Amino acid sequence: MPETFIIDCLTHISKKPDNVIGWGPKFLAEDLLSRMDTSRMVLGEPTHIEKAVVFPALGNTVPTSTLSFEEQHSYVLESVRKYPDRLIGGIVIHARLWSKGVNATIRSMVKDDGFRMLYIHPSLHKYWLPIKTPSEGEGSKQMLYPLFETAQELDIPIIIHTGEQPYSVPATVDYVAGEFSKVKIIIAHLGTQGEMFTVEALLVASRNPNVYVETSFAMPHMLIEAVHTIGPKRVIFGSNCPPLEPTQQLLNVEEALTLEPPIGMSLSYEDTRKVMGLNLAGILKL
Amino acid sequence: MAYTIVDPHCHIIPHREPVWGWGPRFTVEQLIAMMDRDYEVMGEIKHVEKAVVMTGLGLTSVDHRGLVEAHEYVLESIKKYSDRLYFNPVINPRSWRSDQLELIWEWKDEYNVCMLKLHPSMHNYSLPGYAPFPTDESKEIVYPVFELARAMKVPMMIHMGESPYSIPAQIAPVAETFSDVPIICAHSGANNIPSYAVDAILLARTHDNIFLGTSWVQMPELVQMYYAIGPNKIIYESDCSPQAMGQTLRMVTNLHLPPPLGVGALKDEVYRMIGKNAAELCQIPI
Repeated sequence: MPETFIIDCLTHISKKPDNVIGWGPKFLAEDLLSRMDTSRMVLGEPTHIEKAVVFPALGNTVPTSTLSFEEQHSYVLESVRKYPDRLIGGIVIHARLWSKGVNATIRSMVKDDGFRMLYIHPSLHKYWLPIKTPSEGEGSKQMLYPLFETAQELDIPIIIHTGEQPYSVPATVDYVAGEFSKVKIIIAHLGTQGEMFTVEALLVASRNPNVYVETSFAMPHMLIEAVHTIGPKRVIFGSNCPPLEPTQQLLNVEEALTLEPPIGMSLSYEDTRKVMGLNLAGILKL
Repeated sequence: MAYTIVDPHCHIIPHREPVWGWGPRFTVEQLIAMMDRDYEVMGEIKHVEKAVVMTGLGLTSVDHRGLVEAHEYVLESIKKYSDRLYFNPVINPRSWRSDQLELIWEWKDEYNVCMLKLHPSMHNYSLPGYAPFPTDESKEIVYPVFELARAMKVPMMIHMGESPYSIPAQIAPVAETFSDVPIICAHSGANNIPSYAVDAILLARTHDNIFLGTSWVQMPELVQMYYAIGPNKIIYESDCSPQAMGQTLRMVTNLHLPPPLGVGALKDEVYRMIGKNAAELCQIPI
């Protein structure tokens, strides 16, 4: 096994193009494994991506989807069972679909099939994360707190999409991160997707030791800022494949962290390996 | 076809910039070393053979440096590596008027001047608009630069990527007035706001003389770009420093991958984007 143990925190698979929002392509588990196994040099040695957390195509989980929660996750479940050594199940939970039945299904997915992460997407699912003002925040609390309570009980992290207005500004993670300080929360994309809210993401992570940041879409100078701000132990590699390609995303992280300043920050290989996989392995208790 | 990589967007400066704080020391030797690193391009190991260099931007905006003083190190570096490096003077049109512009003309052959750069954000001005007010004054400072580019037969490069002065659509009026001057929209507008790339794509699609640079662009927008404007108008650029060349290059060469991660671009198309387009526009022999 290569010395660098790489785990990809954020990938998607789908048997067909998602028919709702147009940007979720067909991307089979085998397509993902092929990219994970692609020949590449990382930290000076040939290596591959050992494991990936796989989520369903997001388009299948939008409010207008006619698929049940179970149907949304059937292909991921099938794939995790087929490749248990490589793929780790991830659950995209549309909070408006929450029910006792969904709760029970999630518990079963975690306990029986090793699913290890919840993913919420305020932009796609159209809601604000909870805020203090009761008149504005109460509905969101009622919708989302059961989900956070479940994550706390199951001891699995929640990854939260961030990167555009109005619902996915990372500063809005701050309140719920404080309310659920025992739940590990991963800010996806380091606050960058359509817009760049990286500094806000890092401010939230600075204030809340239970908050981590994921690297897909992140600009390299902001990866450097992330490690300088919160240290290497709370930065987690993710590719968001598809649409992004893992080798390019790994190179983004490797160059930003390991090259000499000013292009990189000369982070030690030991700490870079944490970012590329060991941090996530610890969070997921692998 | 020559399979040569040209990076038309680099910065060098022998000391930390005096004001901005993010313009680091990055010497010409560091740039050459970065160009000479091994980069895997579609299965082959390649190097960046030629680069177009600019000075550290901070030198052009503060302390009332003259054009020569702001570019002293670049001039010296071009002399030293005249077979590898080409020159893109950064013009502060608020400070440097006709007498200084004439100097650039004099530099053309001796210092490989191949392009002219404007940075509306850095130098705090709006590009000329359609209305006579309030941007008529902008014409007074910007048009002479375009007239120089026209006379020298070199393209313009304009920084784009944030409000209020660097929104891609702001290029349209001057692009229409100088429709014979090729314009590279640096960063495709994505420098600080990745979704501005969508505006840049529309701009390039509707203006024959506008080309799009790829630094800071995200892969989904690059894929859109390929289909919207084709490979002849896409120009690889790293923006090194601060960006590294590896991951920026990898993103463009990933267009070679089949969908959904790439677009299945042909090898010749990829090399057009990572070298030939820039070489043709800037008349760099490859």
